[in-house]
Amino acid sequence: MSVSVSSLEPSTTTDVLLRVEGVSAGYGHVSVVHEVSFAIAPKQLVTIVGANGAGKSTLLRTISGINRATTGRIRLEDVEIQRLSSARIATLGIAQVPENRRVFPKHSVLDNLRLGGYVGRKDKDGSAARLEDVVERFPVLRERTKQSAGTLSGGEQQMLAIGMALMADPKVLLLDEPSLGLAPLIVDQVFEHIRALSEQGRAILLVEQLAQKALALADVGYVLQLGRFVAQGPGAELAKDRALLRAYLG
Amino acid sequence: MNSARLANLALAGLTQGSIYAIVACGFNVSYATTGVLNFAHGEFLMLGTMLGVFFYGSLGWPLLVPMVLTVAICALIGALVEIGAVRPALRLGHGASGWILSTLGVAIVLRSIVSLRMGQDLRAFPDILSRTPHVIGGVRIVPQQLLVIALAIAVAVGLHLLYERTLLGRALEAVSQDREAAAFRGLPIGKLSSTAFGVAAAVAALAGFMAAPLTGASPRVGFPFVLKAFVAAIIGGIPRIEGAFAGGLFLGLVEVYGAEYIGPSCRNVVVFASLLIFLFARPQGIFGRVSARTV
Ligand SMILES: Nc1ncnc2c1ncn2[C@@H]1O[C@H](COP(=O)(O)OP(=O)(O)OP(=O)(O)O)[C@@H](O)[C@H]1O
Ligand SMILES: [Mg+2]
Repeated sequence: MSVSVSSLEPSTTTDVLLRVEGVSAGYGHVSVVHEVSFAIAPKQLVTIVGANGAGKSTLLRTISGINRATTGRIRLEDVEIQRLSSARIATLGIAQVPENRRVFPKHSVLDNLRLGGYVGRKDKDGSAARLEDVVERFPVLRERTKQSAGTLSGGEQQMLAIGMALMADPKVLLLDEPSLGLAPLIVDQVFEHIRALSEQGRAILLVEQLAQKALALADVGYVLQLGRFVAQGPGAELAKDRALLRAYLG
Repeated sequence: MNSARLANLALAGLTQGSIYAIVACGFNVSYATTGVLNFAHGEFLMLGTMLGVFFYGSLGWPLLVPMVLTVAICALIGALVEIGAVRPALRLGHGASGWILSTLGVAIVLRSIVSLRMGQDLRAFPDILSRTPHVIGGVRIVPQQLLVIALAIAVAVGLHLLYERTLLGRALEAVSQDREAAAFRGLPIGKLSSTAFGVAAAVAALAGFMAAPLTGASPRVGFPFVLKAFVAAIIGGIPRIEGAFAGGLFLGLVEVYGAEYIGPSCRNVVVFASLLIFLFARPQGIFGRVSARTV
C-alpha cells in the first residue's frame, strides 16, 4: 500500500494504522495534552515537534499505555487500546524508544536486546532473525554484545534503545527525542537510521525538538504547543517554514 | 575446648544459618522486583512446616508428593498475596505505609487460619533423613543437618541461574533496575511481580518443609526465622542472592558460637549486635555496592 506524501489525514479507516482521537492526558489534576487528534497510515513517518514541556512525551506515554488518557480514543488498526495495559499494547504492536533511552544499564547489550524482544519471545526463529537484523543494522552493537549497556556511549545507547524496540517488530515505532544529548554528528547517524527504517516500510511516530531535521524526514508533521497542535502539514514544507518554527520553538 | 566441639558447633551454626539463608534469598527475590519488604514472608516457612506436617505427617504420603504439593500451594498463595495485598497498596500510593500494613495483615490472617484449623502446639515432624548422628573423629554428623545445608546451596545456585541464565530472570532483574523502562518494553510488570512473590514463597516453604524435622511445626515458627533472615539479608547486602546466602550462614554461625561462648541467653543479643556492627561499619552489606538502594 502506498500513501501519497501530501495526504495529511488518511481518509478511510482501512489505510489507518494508528488513530488518536481527541486524546487528553496529564498528571494528577493537571491536564498537559488537550484533545489531540492525528493518524498514521502504514509506512508513514509522522513527526511531532514542540518546545520543552509542550507535552510530546506525555502524548507518547499515553499511546504506549504508561500514562492514561483522560478523554478520547486511541486505535491500533481496529483495536481500541487506550484502556489496555502497556504490556498488552506492546503485544499488539506498539514499541517505544523512551526519552533518555532508558536501557538497562547493568544488563549486557545482548540481554537488553532480548528483553526488547520479550513480547515476541515465544517465536524463537523470529527472535533470532530480528536479532540478526538489529546487529546488522547497528554493527557497534554486535561488537559489544557482552558489554554492559551502562558502559556504552550516548549514541551507542540510542542505537541499542532503537534496537530493543525493533526486537519487538512493532507495527508502529514511537521515538521520543532520539537526538537528546547527542553530538551533531551522532544525531545525523541516528536520523539516517530512522530514515532507513522508514524507507523499509516501518510506520514511525517521531517526537523531536530538533524540528527542522525531524520534519525533513517526515511525510506529515505537526507542531505541538502547550498540549495542542498549532500547525500541521507535509513534513518538508513545515521544515522550510522558518517563521513558523521560530515562533513555536524559539 | 577441642576441635571436634568447634566442628560440631560449626555444623549446628551452618544448619541454622542455612535456613536463614534460604528465607533471606526469598526475601530478596520479592524485594528486588517490587521494592516491597514482605512481612508475611515468614508465614510461608510456617506454612511449609504445617502443610508438611499435614500431608507428610498425618496423611503419610511418600516424601516427594507432599513436598511438591506444599511448595506449589505456597507459591500460589504468594502470588495471590502480591495480587491481592501488595499491588492495590502500591497503586494507592502513600509510600510504604500501605504495603507494610497489608503484608502484616496477611501474616496475621495466615497465622490465624492455621492456628484455628490445626492448633497452636509445636508438633513433631517425621524424619526426612536420619537425625541420628554418625560420629566421625568426634564430630557428630547428622544427615538431616547436611540435607538443610545442601538445600541452601541448591537454592542459592538455582536462584543465581534463574537470574543469570533465563529470560524470566533477566526480566525480573530489569524491573528492579528500572520499573518504568521495563514497562516501556512491554514487560508485564504485574505478572513478573506476582511471579517473584510466588518464587519467594516457594523457596521459604521449601525451607520450612525440609528443616521441619529440626525446627518442628507450629503456626508461630515463622516470625523468629523471618526476623533473622531479614538481618541476614541486610548483612549480606539486599537484594543480592549471594549476599543473602553468605549473610545467612554468617548469622547462623555467630548465633551458635555466641550462645556457646557468651551464654545461651545472649543468642539473640549477638545476632542483633552483629547487625548493628554491620549497619555502622558496612551499611551496604557484604556484597552490596555503595550506590545500591538502602532499606
Ligand atoms: N511525572 C510528571 N508529573 C507531573 N508533571 C509532569 C510529569 N511529567 C511531565 N510533567 C509536566 O507535563 C508537561 C509536559 O511534559 P512533557 O514531558 O510531556 O513535555 P515534552 O514536550 O516531552 O518536553 P521535553 O521536550 O522537555 O521532553 C510539563 O509541564 C511537565 O512539567
Ligand atoms: Mg519529552
